[in-house]
Amino acid sequence: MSESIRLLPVKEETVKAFSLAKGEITRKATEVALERSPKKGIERTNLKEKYDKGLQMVGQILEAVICVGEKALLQDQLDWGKTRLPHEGISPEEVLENLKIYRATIREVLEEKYSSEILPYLDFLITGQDRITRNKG
Amino acid sequence: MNRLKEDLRDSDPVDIESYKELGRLYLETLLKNDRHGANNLVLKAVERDMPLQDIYIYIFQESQHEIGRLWESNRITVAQEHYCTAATQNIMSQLYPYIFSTKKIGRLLVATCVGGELHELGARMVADFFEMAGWDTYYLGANTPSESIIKTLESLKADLLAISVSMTFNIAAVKNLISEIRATETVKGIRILVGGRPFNVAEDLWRTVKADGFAPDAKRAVEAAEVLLASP
Repeated sequence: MSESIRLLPVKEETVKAFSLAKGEITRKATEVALERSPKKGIERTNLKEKYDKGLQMVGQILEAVICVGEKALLQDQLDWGKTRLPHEGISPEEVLENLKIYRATIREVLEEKYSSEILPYLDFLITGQDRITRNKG
Repeated sequence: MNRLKEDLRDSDPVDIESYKELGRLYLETLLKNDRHGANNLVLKAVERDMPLQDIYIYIFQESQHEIGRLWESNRITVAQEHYCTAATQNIMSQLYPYIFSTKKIGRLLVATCVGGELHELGARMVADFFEMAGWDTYYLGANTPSESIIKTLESLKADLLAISVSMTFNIAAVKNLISEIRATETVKGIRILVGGRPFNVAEDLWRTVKADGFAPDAKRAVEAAEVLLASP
């Protein structure tokens, strides 16, 4: 259950490090997400733009939420995405996969002392999105 | 249903249910691209002495919330959402002769959105509710840089700052603005009230960003301000 993941506001230097690296993280995560996407032909139309926009938003939300440590804000975003994103042509499974890619990219780009503070936030999102994916039927 | 609508058009809205029904009719009219019809509904309600606060809550606020839900579930487009919001802003401005005629109580509010926040209707509604309560208000609107907000507070010597935010990713900007205000000698003591979706979702968030208070809507913002300013 995602509720059991405890979230603490991160240190100011971690926020700064993430803010500086956010663009690079989004760019790399978008590249990997595109490579891994099984979508073909017409389904790939605007996919780069969609993934880029979506992962930029993940970065913006994370940047804000890690300052305040409020997981209710992350849950609200998950609920919003559950309703809205299918209408943007993004399935719950894609969201889950891209969140996992974003998590891996944070580990790759940021120093461990920073990423270790931020990853619990991604874990909360991933756990919650996994639940949405499994319960969507 | 049609009969009910006719009744609403032709009789005084006297209770909450009829106010809510009027709100639904207002939105339905806007979604038919009939902003003149929506305007007439509101002006007629004013003529029939529907309190302005109730017009704001049951017509403007409720319809805006529903518009958000309709867009989220893809039942209306972004263009329709923008049309309805712009129409509502226009209709609100027609009520200003009534709103600005209230007796003043010698208090001044600055209402604003932080830099990056483009959803301004909430802040505008808050400012209008304070006007209705007799405050003078200075409404800064959307996407206002922190430096400008602080300069405004310095020059106006406001009693209260109200900050409205809709998008979660602007929470850091709210926190930073409040921190900058508290670090500025000339304005550090000003009372700060926050509101908007993220604060409704996370009940202790207002404390985390170091505001003095929180209100879930415009009406309760006025009540919260009275409590805040009465305390030492």
